[in-house]
Amino acid sequence: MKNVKRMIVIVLAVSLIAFGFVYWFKLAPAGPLPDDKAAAKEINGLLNKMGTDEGLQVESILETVQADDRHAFIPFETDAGVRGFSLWVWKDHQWKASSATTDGDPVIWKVRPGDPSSYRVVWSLDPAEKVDRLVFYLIQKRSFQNEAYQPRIQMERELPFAEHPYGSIKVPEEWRTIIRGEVDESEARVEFGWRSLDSSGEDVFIEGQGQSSYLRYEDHQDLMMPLQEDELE
Amino acid sequence: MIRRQKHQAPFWKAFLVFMVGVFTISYTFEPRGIMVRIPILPLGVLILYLTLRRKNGRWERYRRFAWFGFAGNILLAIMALAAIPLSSIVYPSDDPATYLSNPEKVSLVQSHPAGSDVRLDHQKLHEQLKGMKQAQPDGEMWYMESMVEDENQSKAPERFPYLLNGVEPKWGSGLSPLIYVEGNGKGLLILSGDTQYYYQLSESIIKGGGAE
Repeated sequence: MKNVKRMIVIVLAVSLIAFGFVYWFKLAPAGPLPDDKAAAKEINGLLNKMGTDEGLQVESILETVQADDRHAFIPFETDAGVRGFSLWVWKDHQWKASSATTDGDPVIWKVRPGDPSSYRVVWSLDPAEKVDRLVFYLIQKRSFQNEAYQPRIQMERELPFAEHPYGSIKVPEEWRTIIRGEVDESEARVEFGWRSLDSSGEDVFIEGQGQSSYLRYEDHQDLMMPLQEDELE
Repeated sequence: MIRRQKHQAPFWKAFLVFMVGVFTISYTFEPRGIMVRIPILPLGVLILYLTLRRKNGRWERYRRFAWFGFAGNILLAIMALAAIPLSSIVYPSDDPATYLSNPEKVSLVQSHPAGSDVRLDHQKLHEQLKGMKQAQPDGEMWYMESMVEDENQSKAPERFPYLLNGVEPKWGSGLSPLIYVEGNGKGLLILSGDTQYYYQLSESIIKGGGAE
């Protein structure tokens, strides 16, 4: 009888501890994002671990944007005046930068892969450039295959650059039907692209500093192709 | 008592034999999205025979359970085969209602700059959904006219610059169609899997913009 009681106590204690672990590391609500100093420190660690950008330092955190309760976007500027961004995830009960780059060209960030309503366009570009507006594109190429005609899709979303040199916006609602229609991600029909235009509507090439650095590339990103006028209809 | 045990296989053993009997080498194919497995070789039955025959009378006692397992496969195959004509009755592949079960809920999205700022005429869509005429899609021509430019003709704009948003196919069909709307509002191009269907309408289902 004593043994049985002891067993029950042990089993209860073990399962309580196990539940505690699972709760703490997986289920507990996310804590507050690190302050600017702590965020800069983590990003510096990431950028310099690569060895290629020795001595690169984050000068200022531009903003912290929470994508959902477990994901965040933090654009920054380095002491050399280069803009970049980092993506953060709440994992194992701490906020960690899942990637950081000093090449702030737009990418599609799949916050929750497979769920297009969570997809975002993120970017952080040099505001000194002579750019008037940014245009993001969803493109599906026209094709005639297996006797079936696939119309071209070309949808765009325009933003004034002066107000949005960096940002994290949800993929437009109208795009989601098409992304959702993707049967198989490995043979994606849909492409993403972007352009930077000056006030007269001409393409402006954003030079930036050309330094890029990625580390701990744990999040899902899709490249956005830089497009030019002759590639569009 | 001993004799009875010999003749009545215990339930769990019979069940085990049944489960092993289910193993088969079968030919699998998927007509119209329904998986059909035609059992060819009763692999489980064969294994059971080889292992059970060593002891006298054991195979004889258990073989019907082994064959029950195999027969289960055949039953499933017959049911799947029967579901094919049924599915074409419930989800006729050339009926637009199979792909668009909620015409009152969909909206129009401009998917190409060749379109203009128009709205969907729900009433016109609803009225014509039943009597739409299926037409021969001329994909090759549509492709060529928008891609190839020659001396006396410039590229035509995209023929289908709109998409229906929020399309729900018939419940249970498992389809995920994309429905494009022709620039003049008088044609629907339904793409579902590898097949396409083209329907022509007598009245335009779009209003506003420059379409009227």
